[in-house]
Amino acid sequence: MSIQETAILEPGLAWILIALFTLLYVGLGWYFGRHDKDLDQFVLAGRRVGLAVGTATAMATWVTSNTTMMAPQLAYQMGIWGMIGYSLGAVGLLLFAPLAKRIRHLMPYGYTSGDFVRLRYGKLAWRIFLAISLFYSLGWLVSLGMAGGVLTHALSGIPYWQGMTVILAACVSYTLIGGFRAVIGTDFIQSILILVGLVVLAWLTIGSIGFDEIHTSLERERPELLSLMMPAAIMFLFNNLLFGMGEIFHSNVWWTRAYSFREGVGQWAYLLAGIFWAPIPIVAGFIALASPALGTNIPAADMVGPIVASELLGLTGAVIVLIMVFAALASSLDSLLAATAMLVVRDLYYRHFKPHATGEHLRTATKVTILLLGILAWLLCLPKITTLAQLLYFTGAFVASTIWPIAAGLYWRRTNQWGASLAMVLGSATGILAYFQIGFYVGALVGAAVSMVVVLATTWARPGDFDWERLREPPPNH
Amino acid sequence: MSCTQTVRSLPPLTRAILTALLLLALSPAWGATQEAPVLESTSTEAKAGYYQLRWALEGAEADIDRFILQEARGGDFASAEIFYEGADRATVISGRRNGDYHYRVRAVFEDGSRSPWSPPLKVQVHHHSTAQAFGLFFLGGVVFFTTAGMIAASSSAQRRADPEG
Repeated sequence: MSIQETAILEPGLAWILIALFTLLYVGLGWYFGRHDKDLDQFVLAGRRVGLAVGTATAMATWVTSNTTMMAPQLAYQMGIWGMIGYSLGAVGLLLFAPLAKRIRHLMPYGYTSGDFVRLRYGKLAWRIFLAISLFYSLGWLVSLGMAGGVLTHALSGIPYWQGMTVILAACVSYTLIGGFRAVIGTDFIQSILILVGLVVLAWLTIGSIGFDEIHTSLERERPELLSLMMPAAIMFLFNNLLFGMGEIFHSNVWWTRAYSFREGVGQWAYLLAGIFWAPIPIVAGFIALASPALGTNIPAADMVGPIVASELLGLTGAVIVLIMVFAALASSLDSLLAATAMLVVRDLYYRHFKPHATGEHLRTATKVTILLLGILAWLLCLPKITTLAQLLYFTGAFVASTIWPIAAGLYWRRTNQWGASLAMVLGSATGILAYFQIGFYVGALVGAAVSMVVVLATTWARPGDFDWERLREPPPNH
Repeated sequence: MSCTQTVRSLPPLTRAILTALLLLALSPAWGATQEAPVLESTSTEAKAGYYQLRWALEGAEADIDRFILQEARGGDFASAEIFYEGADRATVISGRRNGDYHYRVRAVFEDGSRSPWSPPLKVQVHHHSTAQAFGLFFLGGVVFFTTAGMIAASSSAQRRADPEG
């Protein structure tokens, strides 16, 4: 039995909207990717992405369904600090800006984040890194698939598995058809849809209820949400910031963009994307705080955004939320599918099993991997074992433990391979321990702290002397 | 042959099963409308101030019109308030201050009849200690500012050493 029995949208209308936007994205995917025949074009858009599209793709990818659905969830659970803490995820983009410039300069022929770790730290650290990165990618992929199902269920009552299946299938289809150029081309359109949708929603919410009523209801019914001293929320602030940094610093989603941008574009694209992104979680989160004033029941925390918007704004709100969150979902799902497929094909398949594979063979392997990742994500989404936030933050300890190995590895010659490997292993282990002992809101924080101490200590105790030229691996003869 | 004689003529095992079924059917819990809903919480000690309550009444779902969920500060429900009334099967409660919160739920059927209240459920909201929260906040601040400082200083040094890079 479903936990939610009331929905605003007619399932028929929801299906029509989903079908229309699926057709739009698949059509755009075909259009953008129709000339990309060789491998570099298919996976990195020919390494010539400009500033406008670069900024839009970075911003749209970071505005995931997690932003539009988890920011309200965290505001609903942790109050003011929840939404402010979520918006601190922008810091990850801002701090990656100089790193993107450095990456493009040091590795003009690079393909993946795995390439950097392999060349910089050797095979042991590379394999640990791959395990972390693939685990995180799968976690993110599953959280996006789940968000698709939760969204359609909350708005229209369509069973979770049906909405999840259709949205996942739509994103796999157009990524498969158009490759990386389709991903960044659709990101541009999707970022516009997301921004317009959010502004309209926030404006309608404030106009319908007003700040005073929202504040009074919160004070009466959920006072801790307004408290700046709520302990879990205080711990969550830096945890979310460090989680976001870990996600961006290590994930191939962001490295492929750094490689694909024209020389000199990466730094500005990430900087602008961070500035544009920061207010989005505040706006999305604010909508959730209107829930007590409305007297709306929230059966599951990750449903709060869509439920409040549709409750408050009726059919119009439900339609806007469906279009906006579908765009946000698609803009991240396609990027993640493309970047993860690339990591699997280049770092696992090509480097471990098929070092002589041709470009054509790897292009086909990338497509097959995108499809297989879609199927795997679908299988893992089916049981819906946890909430979006808990699932995603479980990966936080792992990714936060890569912050220092990546950042120090890009700037410091003396950071060594043993320190990097140990930092990732110990950081992940202690972060997971904190996740279970204290809560999901501290896993990344503890993981990052331990990893930092290990990198600093080992760099000081056993300094290496890395030659940056080793990162300029010549392009493979595909 | 009378009914009693028929039963007596059955093998002992069959007779035992029939007796058990008869007792079960006559017990008060057998009728769907006599059963109370099951109410559970994701946590009985909520350290972050939020928790999800879920409820269900197995075997009578088709006849249910709505549920009534009550919340009270005391276990006797003397000053209970209706927290939720509707068809949903769950609710998320957040932003609560430290203290004990008691809940119970009942179903209202389409014919207007009501199920008994579920056994009461107590959730204790007990936030993490402020010392722990600020300790971890301070640790997070140290990690963040050290990382940001390292990147800023290294980028700046890099620009000075190699303006192209």
